[in-house]
Amino acid sequence: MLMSLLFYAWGEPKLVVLFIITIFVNWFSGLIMTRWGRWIGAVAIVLDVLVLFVFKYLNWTVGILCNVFDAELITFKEIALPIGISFYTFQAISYVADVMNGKVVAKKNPIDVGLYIAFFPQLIAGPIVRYTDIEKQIQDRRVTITAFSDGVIRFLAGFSKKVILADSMAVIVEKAYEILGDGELGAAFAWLGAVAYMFQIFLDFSAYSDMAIGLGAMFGFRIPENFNKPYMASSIRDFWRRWHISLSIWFRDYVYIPLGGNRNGKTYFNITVVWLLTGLWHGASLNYIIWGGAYGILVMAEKALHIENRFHKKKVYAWLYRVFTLIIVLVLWVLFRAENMTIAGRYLSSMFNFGTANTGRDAPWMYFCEMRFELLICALLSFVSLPERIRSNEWYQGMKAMVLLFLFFVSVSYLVKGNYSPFLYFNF
Amino acid sequence: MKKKLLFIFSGVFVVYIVAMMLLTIVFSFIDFKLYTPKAVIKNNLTIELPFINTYGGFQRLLDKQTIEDFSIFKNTFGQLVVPYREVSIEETKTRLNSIVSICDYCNGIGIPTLYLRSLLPVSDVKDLPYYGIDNSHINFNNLGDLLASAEIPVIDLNSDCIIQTIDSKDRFYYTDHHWSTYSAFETFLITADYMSSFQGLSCDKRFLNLDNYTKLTYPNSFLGSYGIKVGKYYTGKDDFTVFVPKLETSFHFIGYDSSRNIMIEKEGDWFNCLSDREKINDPNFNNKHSSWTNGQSIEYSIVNRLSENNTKVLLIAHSYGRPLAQYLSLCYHEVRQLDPQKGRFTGNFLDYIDEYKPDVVLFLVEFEGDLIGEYNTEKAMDVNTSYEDGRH
Repeated sequence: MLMSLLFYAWGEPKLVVLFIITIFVNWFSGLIMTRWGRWIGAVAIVLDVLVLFVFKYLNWTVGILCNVFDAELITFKEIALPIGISFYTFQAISYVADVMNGKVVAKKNPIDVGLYIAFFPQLIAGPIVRYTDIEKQIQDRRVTITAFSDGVIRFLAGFSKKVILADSMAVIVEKAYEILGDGELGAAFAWLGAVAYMFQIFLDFSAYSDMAIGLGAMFGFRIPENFNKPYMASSIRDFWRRWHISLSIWFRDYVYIPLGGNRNGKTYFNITVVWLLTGLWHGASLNYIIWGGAYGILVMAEKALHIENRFHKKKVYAWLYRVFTLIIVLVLWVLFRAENMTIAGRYLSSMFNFGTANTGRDAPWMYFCEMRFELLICALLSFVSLPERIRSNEWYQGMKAMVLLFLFFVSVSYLVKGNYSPFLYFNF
Repeated sequence: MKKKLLFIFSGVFVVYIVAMMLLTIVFSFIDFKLYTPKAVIKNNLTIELPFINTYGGFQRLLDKQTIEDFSIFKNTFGQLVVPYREVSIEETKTRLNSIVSICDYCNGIGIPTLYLRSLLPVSDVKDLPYYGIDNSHINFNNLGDLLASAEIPVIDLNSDCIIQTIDSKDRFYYTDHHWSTYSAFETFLITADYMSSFQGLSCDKRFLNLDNYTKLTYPNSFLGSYGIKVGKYYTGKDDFTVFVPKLETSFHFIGYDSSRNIMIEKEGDWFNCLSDREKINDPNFNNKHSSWTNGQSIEYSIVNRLSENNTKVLLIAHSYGRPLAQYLSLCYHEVRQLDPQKGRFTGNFLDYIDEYKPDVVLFLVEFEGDLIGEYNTEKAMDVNTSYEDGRH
């Protein structure tokens, strides 16, 4: 736990104090809840949400109020967002809620809770682990050479994905938005940029999860999976069963079900709340709320129209709906990436502005040709799933290990060259 | 078998990480400063170069035609070139004013001038991948028109029939932004011939004959300013060539810094006195171009002790000028070079000319059709005219 706190302090030397207080408050509330009652847990959760609100949403809320009332209500210094606050706060809430519900016995040793919240591999950008997922390993973990090696392989896969692929896609994305800022973005570059971002966000985020899972395995922890080929989803609902799985489960277990789920006749209201919160969780911006809201509407539409049952009877329809899902996801990523709704609107209209073409140094085909191998590998990693018999083959695993070791050295050389950008989900 | 393989695999990874950590700790300990592994690597080229080579090798494997975020291109011969941005005519005019002022001033006191138009690295945009994105020719043509209207004597090395005899692949290094020894040497021949024929300046013509030189080549020894970004596996290393005179020579060299303090002073024959032989012979030293005229002096003087004439040549030039000055020194009594690049020679050019009284002033100040340098010429602006007065 100490190393995890040092790791956090390296990135957030001042706000590590807030982090330690969060750990202490949640551990202590769990401890005294058994004597003083469940209301202590509720207070702890309110405090967690309040801290998250102050650091993540207060600036934004005050800004909106100022706009609405056309006045300068209060002036205060811009509050910096602590690294990983959305992730560790959700883990802390999950621990307290599980103690409240009797799913977890309150831990007497603060190091147990501290290690659970602060465990450095997944501290910054998830997966959002539940206490029950790693409870046994906190008490009694074993490091074996096989698990360690598997962890190294997984870590290297994530590392290479991030440095070689995700950051290469970032070059195309940055260029697309740069052209949009400078003048007119043609349809070809707009689509190329949108596809590149679709790959970038998947590979960037899943790479972090791979590295977290890999590092966890090296230290004897089994961190749950966070992605399952999301771009192969057969519907929007299926997409969210495959994308950022730990967040979807968290909202299901700690928001949707406590609200009544689909049992109290307010199913659509509950879905709306969950998706607006999902959008808001990603950041204090109208873009994220609209992005989350759009998914909420699509999920409700699929549920109401029984889309998954209807379209999946025939293979052709199923595939058509799969493509439709992918296009929707791609378009909604534009809302997610753009700084505000005006830019998002301009970008989306550029995607259908077929009369304009970027040439010279902004020619999309130059970027496409130069990144063709990276794009191909991104597509393979996103859309192709190897059969289990190949994945479990010893020769395949040996080859994979060798290739990843080679790619690791290549990735380090990319880092030395300075060709990298921070993880996208660090912002959340 | 699988277990053994995994054991080796994990071992390599762990050893690598531990080695990086140890390296970081050792360097932090030596310098009493907390370093990151990246800082340790970046601060030491010997450690950094294998990483750069790995990176460049992988870029080649991926068949990349551009590097450094689409800023450097590999042309059809495998040379690295930077497509140049377009410079506005107004900007070019403003920059040319200073050159015109110096030329006007020299003409006023009877010193001839000669402006050498640098070779363009991109001789044909079809040689570039994703062709049609280089603007150096536009800049070159705009500047050419302005030079013509200013009536400055010009040698255009791009159009001259002699320079065209050099194969376009050999005009520039593959890994560097500088022109090759071949180009510099040919320019020397053309320039000396021109100054002798049209400006009546005495010159030791024995050195205009290639038979009086020995060609020394140091194969695969030069990794220039572009190549150092991607290492030797991306486009290979350049051969470094020097034409060394066979005849007896004796020189005195003095190099100055920006405050006119002597940085280096040497005596000896042409090659030993004017070239940094240590840099040339060191296999780990990559930037061989900096061996010309003993490196990075902002101002230097080369005196030819065996010269049969008293001709003094002032060369106002960026780093292209170093090999040219070194060869010109063979034919004249003294050659001096001032580097006008930003932050280098900051003195007044006209005062310098007044003090030195050269027999000719040469300019080699273009890079990819654009004018390089900052020129302090206040005196000329007062006494004489500027380009924009419309006298030219």
